[in-house]
Amino acid sequence: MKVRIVTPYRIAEFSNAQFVVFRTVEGEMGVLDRRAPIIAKLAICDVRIKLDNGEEVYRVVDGFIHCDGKSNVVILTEEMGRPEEFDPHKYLGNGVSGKTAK
Amino acid sequence: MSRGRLLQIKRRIGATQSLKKITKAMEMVSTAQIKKVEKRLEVVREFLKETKNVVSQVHLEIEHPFVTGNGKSALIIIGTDMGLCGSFSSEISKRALSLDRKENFDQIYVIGARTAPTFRKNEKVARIYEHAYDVPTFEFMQTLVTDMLSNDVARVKVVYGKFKNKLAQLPDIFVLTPFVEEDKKEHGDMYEFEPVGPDFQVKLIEFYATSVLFSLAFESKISELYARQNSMRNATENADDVVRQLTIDYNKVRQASITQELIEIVTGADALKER
Repeated sequence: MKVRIVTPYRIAEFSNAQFVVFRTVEGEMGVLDRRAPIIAKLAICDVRIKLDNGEEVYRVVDGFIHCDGKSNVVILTEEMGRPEEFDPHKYLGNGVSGKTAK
Repeated sequence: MSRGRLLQIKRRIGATQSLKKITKAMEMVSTAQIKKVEKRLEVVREFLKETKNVVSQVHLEIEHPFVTGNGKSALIIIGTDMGLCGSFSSEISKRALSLDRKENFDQIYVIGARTAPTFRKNEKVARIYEHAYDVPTFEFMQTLVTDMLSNDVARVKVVYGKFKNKLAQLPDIFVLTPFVEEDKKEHGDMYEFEPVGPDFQVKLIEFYATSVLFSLAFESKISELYARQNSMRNATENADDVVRQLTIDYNKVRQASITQELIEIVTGADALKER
């Protein structure tokens, strides 16, 4: 299964994923290869991608997950990074990203 | 008298040469910025492609102003924060003004400190964003979309600098909303959506509008940088021409002064002989 995390600033690709776990606004869910097509709204969450040789974890901020039913999963999000790179204070509040008026 | 003229030309040559150094440095700065920003352009295009791909799978059935078009009309002008990019900024302003005359928008949103003075006294201006970003950010575009929605804006057109090629950047108009659905792909109906309900489509359409604005701002930024690089290159070349012409003038004046002095010496010597 091919998993891509696409943000306006960078793209991460994993071509040998077996299982993807993430949290939508309604709860946590996982996607296996050839899952039926779904588009879901993501919450701010950690996406866990189980690969043939280990596991990758990325934190994503809002966005959508698009599973096309053909072994392609695209996670569209505003921002991504390793969990330890994130400043939690930026996202405290109602679970939505902080917007600064400029 | 010729000595004064010589000094004057020399000063002008010196001034032009220092100006040339500045324009050359600015050209190099633009080139470095272009390299940095251009690398990200592919990512931005890919992001927009994937966003459009998601939106194309959804039948929009919500009463959102961006979908129905019921509300105020607005014009977003994506200008520049800095000058020294030739006529790029003024061309965008001109295009925006002519579009406003034609369509008479309810509100105008201006991005860019350089573009702002043209619209500052315009009553329709809802908000001016100056020095909002160096390189466009998604977060800023979210702010812009939120501002528009809080002002009941439904129909949006954007004037931005379209990047045609490295030498040509033209102002262009993009119709952002009302959102027109393209032909549905056959498998679009097979999808399940989460959460079920209008909230999902509202978030999606706002995400889409933000993504499109982000990509337009990015394209405008690249156009601005190329326009700046081109105008600085032209200025450097013009400075070269000016220095060349001034050097010729300087030599002519110097030669005239030497000739004058020689004539005076010879005339003096002749006068002494005659005695």
